Amino acid sequence: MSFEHVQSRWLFAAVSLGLAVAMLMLGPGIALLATEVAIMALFASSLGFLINYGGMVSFGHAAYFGLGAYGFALAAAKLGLPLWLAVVLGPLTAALGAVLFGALCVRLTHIYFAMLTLACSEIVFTVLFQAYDYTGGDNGLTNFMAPRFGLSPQIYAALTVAIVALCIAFLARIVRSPLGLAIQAVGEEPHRAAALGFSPRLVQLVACVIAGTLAGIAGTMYSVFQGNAFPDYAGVGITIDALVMVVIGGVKGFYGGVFGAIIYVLLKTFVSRAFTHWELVIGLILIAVVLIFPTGIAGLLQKLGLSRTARPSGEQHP
Amino acid sequence: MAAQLLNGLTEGMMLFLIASGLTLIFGITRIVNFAHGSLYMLGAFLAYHLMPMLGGSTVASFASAVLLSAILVGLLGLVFEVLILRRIYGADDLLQLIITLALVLILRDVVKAIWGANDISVPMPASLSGALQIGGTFLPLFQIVAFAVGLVVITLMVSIMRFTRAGVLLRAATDDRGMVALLGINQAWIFSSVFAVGCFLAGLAGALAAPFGNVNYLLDTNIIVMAFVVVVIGGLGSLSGALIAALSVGMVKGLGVIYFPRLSTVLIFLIMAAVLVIRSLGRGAISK
Amino acid sequence: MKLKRGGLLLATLLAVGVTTGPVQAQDPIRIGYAADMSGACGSLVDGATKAFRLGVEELNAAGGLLGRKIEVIERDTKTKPDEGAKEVRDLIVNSKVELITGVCSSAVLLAETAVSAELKVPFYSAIGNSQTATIEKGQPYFWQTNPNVLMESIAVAEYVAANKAWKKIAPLAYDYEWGHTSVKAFSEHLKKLRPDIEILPMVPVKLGETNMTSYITAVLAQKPDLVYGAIFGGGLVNLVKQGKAFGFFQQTSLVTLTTVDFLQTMGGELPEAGLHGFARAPFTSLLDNPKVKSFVQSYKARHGKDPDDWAVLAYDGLMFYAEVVKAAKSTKADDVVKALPTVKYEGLRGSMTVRGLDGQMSAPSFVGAVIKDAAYPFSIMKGATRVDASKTLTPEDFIKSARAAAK
Repeated sequence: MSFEHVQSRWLFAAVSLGLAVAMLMLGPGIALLATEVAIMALFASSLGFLINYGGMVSFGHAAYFGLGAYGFALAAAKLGLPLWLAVVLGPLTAALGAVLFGALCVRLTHIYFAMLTLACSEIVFTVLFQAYDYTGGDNGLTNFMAPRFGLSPQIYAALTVAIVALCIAFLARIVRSPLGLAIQAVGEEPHRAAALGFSPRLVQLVACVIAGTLAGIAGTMYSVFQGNAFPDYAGVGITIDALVMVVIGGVKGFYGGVFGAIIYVLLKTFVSRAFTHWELVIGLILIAVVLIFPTGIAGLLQKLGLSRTARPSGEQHP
Repeated sequence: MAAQLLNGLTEGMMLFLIASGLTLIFGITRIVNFAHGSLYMLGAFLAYHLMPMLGGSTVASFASAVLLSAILVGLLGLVFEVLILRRIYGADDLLQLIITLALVLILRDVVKAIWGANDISVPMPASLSGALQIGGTFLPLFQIVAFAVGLVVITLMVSIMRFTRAGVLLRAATDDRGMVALLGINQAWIFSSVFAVGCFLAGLAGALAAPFGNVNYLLDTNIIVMAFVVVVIGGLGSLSGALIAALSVGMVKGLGVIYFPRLSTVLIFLIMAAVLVIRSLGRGAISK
Repeated sequence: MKLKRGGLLLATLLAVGVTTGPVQAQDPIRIGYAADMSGACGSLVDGATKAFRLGVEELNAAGGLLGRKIEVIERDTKTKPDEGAKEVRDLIVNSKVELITGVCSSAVLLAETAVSAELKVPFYSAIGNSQTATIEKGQPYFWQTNPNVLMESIAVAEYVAANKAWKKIAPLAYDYEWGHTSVKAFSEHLKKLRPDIEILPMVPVKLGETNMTSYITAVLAQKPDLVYGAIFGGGLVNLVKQGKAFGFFQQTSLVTLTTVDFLQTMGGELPEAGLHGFARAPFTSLLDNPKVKSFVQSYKARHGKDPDDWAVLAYDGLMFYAEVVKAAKSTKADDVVKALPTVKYEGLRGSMTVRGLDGQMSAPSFVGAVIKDAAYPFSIMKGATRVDASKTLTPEDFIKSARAAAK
């Protein structure tokens, strides 16, 4: 979906607003699930941005989700700061983490990049897990606030959807901006991009920080949603979930993360409630999805003519 | 300290066995096989299952159970490659990753369904349960045997790579996949057999280590991480690199327990991060 | 709660598990069993789930509770705190359960107890334990029917102190809060009882470690009389098997958590001597109680093996709840909470009560040498000492000051 078209921009705003309003009319149980979907949609989209546009596959994206959650929760629980300030500090912590880890990781490419991001996130996880005097360790941080600021599930769902929509609109804007084009150029052909005068590492670092900050926003929102923070939020499990979302959503389209999050969160929730051997069922479904729709849901929609590509220059590089 | 180093060396050889199949598969096919730890786990469960059938806990039945388990895991890998992985070569690398992740989920649940969720202990064959005493320190016989198996595996692999036609082709395929195809060699055949051999090695490592520790469905995640770290430190696709990395990680781990005990959980990640960062310093602006 | 107002395509997908309408007097009592079935806790939860199902069947066969049948809704928390909180919230909001239980991991427990407090639905833990959940984060709707780590550590310290041959102790513990708290509580109590004892610096062990050899050689190099191991599950299997190869049990002794599932896993492979254990509910130490005999019989008839500690604990926890409901003549949260400290429960582990202040049950601990026994295909804690809660229960003053400090 292109944002060059004023029409699309209005359409996106209208759909987002409609969704947010719809949240207010849901039952509390479904509003809770919708909130989780929305938060994971933002997290997966931020990873999708890194992968699809920046050409950087990260195995450690959960580090920023965890830093977002703990930046917020530690500020609120341990420093006793007002919640509004803590909410700002969450994504800021993630952004700082992204600057630090990004600077290290962009020196590498491909699988080595991925493994260094994994190392970074495992180090974050271990610090959260072991430094229990400060972080609560595996017991996490709980009971420091009412979940969702004490808002009703419906109102928090509406708020989440609105914030996620704003963040995704921001991402879409970045993708279309000169910066976004530079990120894509470096992601596809680093040598050529360097020849054109970009500093590939700087461009990649900026992409990492953008993705990390958005993941941090998702992490903060998740911590507020749960009213707690646990080291698992920085664990490799959440990274893998997001990778699966990006792939089944579509590794080429802009909305892959959103589609992937909707499908995978619902799948995990309901398959695990319906089947004892839910991991087996999900494994089989994943294989089927990859074999039948190798381009993901976004690719499928594109094929059906329901969505235009958001990545015009990427087509020749399968 | 000498005891820690000596033990680290033997532990390192077991790490090499875990990592060897992963690095082989990546080197030739570029597949990042997340299911490597799951295949290791399956090998361990198969050994547990097969040993009583093959005559109980004697060395002979253990050895045959290990070999048979490894072959079965290798065959599973072959089937998986031919039926599923082969369909998505050429597609986005991430698809392969998700497919192997799906295999992780499937194998974990299958293992649970067949052998249950409880921990399992495979009895150690009596004649392998002793230890050599060197000075005041013990060196378990089992670890010596595992070390020997590791040496055999690395020798076999290196000889095949160096001295056989298949090895020449494999090395060529590692360097330039297109060229091998131009030579008229059936690339699909190379990929299938390499994948199967890699899975065989995973099964071998799992089955061999089975009597030396706990066997349960959580082995997959614990093992895959170690395997990846060793492979990355050694340089992806490099067998000798993996061997050096495995032995070094084993020894650093042994020293770490004494000198920086609180780091034991992150130690391997710190080593990997340090190696990657140092390696990146020696490069130009971009490297492929 | 109706979905059609949302008007979303997803509505059909989301409709699973939604119930409506006020609770009728003859409606079943719905219990949410949110257990860590997959993930790190899966192997411990297995026996507990089997025993819990058995207990529910028995209660229903006897006509249910207060004339109402019990209906259990099972959920898998995947041993993840956020998943646990999510499933518990869903069970309460959508499935209208009146009780939550099943948890194993202390992290999941803490996430779930917060939801229980917020939505005011009773929640108990029978196999998972967390002193944080009863002390600093205690809340009226939560109780815990197994001993916590402070209680267990005191019981072990008493046992160790009684053996004068042990003068040099090496702690070996998982490197996270539980491991450190265990070692600290154990060391403090032991030092009080035996000031002459030397306690070496703790060797921290990586959680999920498959190869314990470098820890074993490091501990043995210190030449301790006894190793205190805050290690459990698969890691303990590794420690004992690999330890045997190093002549561990010839050089020193080990005292550690030896629940029946671990003993069953090891079968005949445990050393003849040198292994001492502590546990929460080994059926072999409880068999003079006729209730235990019949429970073991029906469990074994169904599952072909003896119940482990987790099974005994899960069954005991459920039966205690049944007694509380009978005493309260209601399943309403506030009635249950009010009746909680008044019930003197005669269960599988003998006579026990739940303290009103922190919801901690006066649960015993068992400590003793692990030895081979011809009656079982595995070693047991034969003649283990039962350490009653009167000796181990955390003092009320301590709890009050800890809570005040946490505020």
